[in-house]
Amino acid sequence: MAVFQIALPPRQREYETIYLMRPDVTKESAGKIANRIDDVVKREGGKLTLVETWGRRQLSYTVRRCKRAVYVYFKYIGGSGLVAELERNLRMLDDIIKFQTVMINPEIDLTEYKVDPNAVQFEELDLPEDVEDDKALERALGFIEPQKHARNADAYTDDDIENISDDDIPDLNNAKDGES
Amino acid sequence: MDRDMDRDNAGAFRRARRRGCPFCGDEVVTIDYKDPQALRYFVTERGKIVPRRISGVCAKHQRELTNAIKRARNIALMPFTSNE
Repeated sequence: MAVFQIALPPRQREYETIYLMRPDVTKESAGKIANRIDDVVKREGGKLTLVETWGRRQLSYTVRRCKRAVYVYFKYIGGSGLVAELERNLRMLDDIIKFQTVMINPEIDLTEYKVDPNAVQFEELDLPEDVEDDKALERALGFIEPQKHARNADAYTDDDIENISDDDIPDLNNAKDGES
Repeated sequence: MDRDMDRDNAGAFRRARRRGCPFCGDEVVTIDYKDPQALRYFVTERGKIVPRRISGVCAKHQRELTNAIKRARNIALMPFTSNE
């Protein structure tokens, strides 16, 4: 049984990782991180298939005192050892504040997989300087009306979901045809 | 006029909108944790996941939705909670 397991080639899976860099990350530092990721993937026998830089984005909550972060997304093919090694490296880098890996394809046929060589290059980070909101203090103290996020008019409120009793809800499985 | 508004406030309008699962009929609409705008419809203003008895999503897609919302929260694309 053990011999049989050794004879099998390592299973190749497709993963995607998003990592968040500090908003004030320098171009050089971002380049170093990109090179390191590239090296780790190659060293562990993996293959990058897509790299996207989403740019500086507002975070939904504060992470390590940052309200914004630079998002980078990449897809790759490799084994589980690659993910562990990659995450170990990401954890060590100070400019990375958060990362998440998701498996998107548990078994991949490499013969049918085509990769665009232009799509696997890490873009050079060229963002305008991160300007701190100079009115933040006034807003915190209540001198300025807080900026409201564009509200989703269709969003349910918590009252909606708590106050509607089960009797109000039509049985969707049985009344599917009757409803327009 | 007032009565119409009351009816809307009582949730009659919302209930009329509730139909079958929006993902079952249309295969083009996919559930992706990287698209928080699409997921926003399935969370409340505070950020709680809307139960399927209200949104009308089928069990299979509700599981996928829940997964996607939790992944989006983890990478700060969606809030865990919001007081605004």
